[in-house]
Amino acid sequence: MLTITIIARADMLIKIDFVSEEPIYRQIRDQVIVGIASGALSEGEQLPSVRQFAGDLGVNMHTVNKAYSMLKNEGYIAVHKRKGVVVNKTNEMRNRGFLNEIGKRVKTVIAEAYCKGISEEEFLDKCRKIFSSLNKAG
Amino acid sequence: MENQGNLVWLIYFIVVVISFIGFILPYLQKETLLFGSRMPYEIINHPELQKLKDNYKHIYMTIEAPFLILLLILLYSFGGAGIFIAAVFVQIILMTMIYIFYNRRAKELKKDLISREGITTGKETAIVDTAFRSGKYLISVVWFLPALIIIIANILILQINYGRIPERIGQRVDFNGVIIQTAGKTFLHVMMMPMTSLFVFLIFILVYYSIKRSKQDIDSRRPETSILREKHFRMIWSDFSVIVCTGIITWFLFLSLHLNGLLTIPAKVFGALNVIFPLLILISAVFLAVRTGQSGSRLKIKSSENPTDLNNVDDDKYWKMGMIYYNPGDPAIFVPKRFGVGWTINFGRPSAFAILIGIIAVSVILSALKGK
Repeated sequence: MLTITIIARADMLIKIDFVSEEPIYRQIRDQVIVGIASGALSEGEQLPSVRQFAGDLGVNMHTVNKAYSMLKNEGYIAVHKRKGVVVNKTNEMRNRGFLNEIGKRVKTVIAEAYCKGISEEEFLDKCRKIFSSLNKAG
Repeated sequence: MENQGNLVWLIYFIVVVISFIGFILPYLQKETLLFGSRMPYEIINHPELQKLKDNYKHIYMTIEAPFLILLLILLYSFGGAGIFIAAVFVQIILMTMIYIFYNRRAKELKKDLISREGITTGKETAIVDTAFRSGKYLISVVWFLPALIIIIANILILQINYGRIPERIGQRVDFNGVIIQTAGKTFLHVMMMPMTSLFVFLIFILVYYSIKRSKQDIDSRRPETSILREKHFRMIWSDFSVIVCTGIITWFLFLSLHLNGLLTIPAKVFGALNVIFPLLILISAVFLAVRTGQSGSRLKIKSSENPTDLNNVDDDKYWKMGMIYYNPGDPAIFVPKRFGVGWTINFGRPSAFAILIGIIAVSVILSALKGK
């Protein structure tokens, strides 16, 4: 069963479920993004090096590398020679084009909700709650 | 013979201390570990776990008491360094074997309890704090400078007074500082102690580094509290490392001057210091270990943290015999111990092995370099 939880607090905690079907690199990537959104990770904040992160988790470095690569390509983090891995500035991450991407991604979830009898209003309400929780923490 | 008597008591005391550590070992471990086996939260308070610990103490005493009595008799009859080395070896082997036996029983108990009582355990989760190493959790490495300065001073004093150093210099001393092995005065032989000091210094730097880089082992149920404990634990032991390192290097300075004939430490003083100093370090270490517990598990921390329902990852399979961590897939070189208090290496990483072999090799080489 897949459950990823993030606690937004002074220190960002990444929680990895090893039995989940969701690959570990995916869990890392997703949690970092939510962490940035919720403010647990601030802009310019440093993330551990690949080696250190992989060591702390006890996983292969390729796994962390993959997560970091995805995050870098998607514009969330930058890898500097000296500073290491840092979270990008908020305005560097802005990308209106992402609206199209949302359409693709959310379509499945909406379809699932539709099939299972969740109304549009309930769905949107749920979304609003999540947004407001991010705003509150961040 | 008075020296002999002191030696006997010292040896005996050390073995007793080691024995004591073995006795209290189960109480130094985190609450989620039982003889090196990871326990899910749902069963850590089960009475059968406590029963196993009590059983351990009983068996341990039954084996140790006769051994310690026998040792006392042997020491009085024969005395000497040979018995000491053998005694320490036997003691360590004994407590290791007892621990391994109970490690196996703990694993069986875990399996048995879970299936017997149909317990559903919380999800196994690994938690990493991305900002763990940004905070302050170690004494600054700058505090090692005094020790380095003492080493440099050692070298300088020897250099400046090179002419006054006798033609045959000491390389080894006995318990009271009486020189029992000499060598011809060459630069290498004169510099033996500074070289040894530097080696010891580097080992402590390695220890410092291992505390800094060691794998986080955050408790899934109360992660924030666990992080606090870890940080305090590392801070305390890094402080201790600096203190012990500086103390040893200082002692080596005097030993260096003594061996090279620039200073004569009276036998009584030497003998006393030679006993008090190591004892002090040993007792302090044990005291600290009991106060902190492994990963700070015995530190008193008030926490209002709401526990999650998660469990730690069961990585028993990587902990061979509950004490040796072997995981080639884990990039971490230094990990928190399960058998004892402190840190150990990941034997699955070649670099960790290299470090171990390297330390042994340098010790052997340094020892061999001491002249005939």
